[in-house]
Amino acid sequence: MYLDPGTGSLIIQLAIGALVGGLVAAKVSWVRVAGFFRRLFGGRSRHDDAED
Amino acid sequence: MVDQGMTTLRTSQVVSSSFRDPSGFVFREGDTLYRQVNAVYKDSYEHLVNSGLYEKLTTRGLLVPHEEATLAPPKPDIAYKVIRPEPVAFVSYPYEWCFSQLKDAALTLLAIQKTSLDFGMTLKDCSAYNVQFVKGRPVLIDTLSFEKHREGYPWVAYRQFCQHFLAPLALMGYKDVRLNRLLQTYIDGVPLDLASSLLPTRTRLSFSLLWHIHLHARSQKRFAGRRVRADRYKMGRLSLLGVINSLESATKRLKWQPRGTDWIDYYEDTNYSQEAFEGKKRIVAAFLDRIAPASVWDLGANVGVFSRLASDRGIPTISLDVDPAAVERNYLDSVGRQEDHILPLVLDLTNPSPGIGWGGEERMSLVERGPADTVIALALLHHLAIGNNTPFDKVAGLLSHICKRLIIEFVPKSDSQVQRLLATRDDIFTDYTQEAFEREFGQYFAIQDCVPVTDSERVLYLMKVTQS
Repeated sequence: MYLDPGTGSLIIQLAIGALVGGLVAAKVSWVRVAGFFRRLFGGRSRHDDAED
Repeated sequence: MVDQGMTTLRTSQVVSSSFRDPSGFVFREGDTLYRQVNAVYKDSYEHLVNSGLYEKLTTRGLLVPHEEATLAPPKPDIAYKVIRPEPVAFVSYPYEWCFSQLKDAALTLLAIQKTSLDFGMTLKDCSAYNVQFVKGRPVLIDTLSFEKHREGYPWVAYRQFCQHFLAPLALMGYKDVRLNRLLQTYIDGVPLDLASSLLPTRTRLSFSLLWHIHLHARSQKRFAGRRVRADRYKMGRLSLLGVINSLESATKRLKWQPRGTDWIDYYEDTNYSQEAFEGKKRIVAAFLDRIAPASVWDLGANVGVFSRLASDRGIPTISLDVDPAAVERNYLDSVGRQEDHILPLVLDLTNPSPGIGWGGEERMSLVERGPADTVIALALLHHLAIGNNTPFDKVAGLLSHICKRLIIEFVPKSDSQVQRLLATRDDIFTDYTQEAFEREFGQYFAIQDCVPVTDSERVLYLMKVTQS
């Protein structure tokens, strides 16, 4: 019997996305907050562009 | 860029691996490979080029560069364009890659996917066969793998990534490195229920393996056959990036090291002196300088010391060995030294990669990918003739199919390595003599030179195919 595994893959991806999406949001916010304080205290903003 | 004018294609041949994707297909015209881009893919192709994504990815060496050709398309009624991708010197397949090659290919695709999202595109497939090693590094060769990303949609190639990369890498890392051979049986990647049942229980303690493999397999079973309306489920951008980051960190964390072996031992287990070893290198180097081959396959290459005599001369060299640990070391060395001309691959010469997939011709056999200009076969003959009971004429017959010239080492029966092979078997190999070797190989090859290795009983031959 062949059953298309696509539906289950979609659903697990949504579940994982819901779980880890928060982490990405937290990381983005953290970068923003850290950046804010760095600017506030006169430090130079850091360009995290090493990959490019 | 303009090709050699408009030409009508009567002799063009659609490449047999290229039939699934409605976006286009690869065809061969003479010795050159082209890709027809179909009209249905026009929007995506233009977005890829005009958004700057194509330039970004090709500059970073992640995507194969191409030129637009003015060649008439083989299927003009559905065509939009014909492109000519930069050629790949040697096509290899994931079941021939060592652990780090598969891992690097996976990370390449994830890097491409992340960059694509920045440009409003996404990878619509994630097949390991879309990656090839060019100048030693993994490159996406399918220019038509991109589509516009629709905000709110999950990654359509997620399952394929897990099957083609994450599952086999986890199996290799946690269970046994030889399990990459499952990819030869399962052409669309390792089924996740199989991976889940083979992986040790402790992999359930890893968040990413628990979710991307074990629960993923469960979910596939649970929802099998059920239809869902994909547009009912939306996935925010942060969630999508979260999934890709999670796959990336899971892939990066997977490691493999041969157990109970030290890399350093790999060239220590020889029975001849440093002088003989250096002498052998000098003879092979002199042969290579004399014949200046266009390409080399080194069979039984171990960690690639002799392959590098060829690749360091700028000769495209495929360095093949049956031992995944030796190939892993060889590959890591080639990456460390940023070598352009060597490609280490795992290959069992007694059972070389067959043609697989649809009609058995979607992925080429090793023999089809030849012949190499020159084959180097050092310290190999006794393994085939005595270790694998293969008569000399069979060995010569196969070698004559895969090369035009041959550098081969004859290891006499008195050699301690041969004696070691004979220690566990009856000596039924009465015809294992230098005379018989020359006679049997003489059926297929003309012997051009024959040089004894100093300080050993071994002899190196240079031969040329006369009949294959």
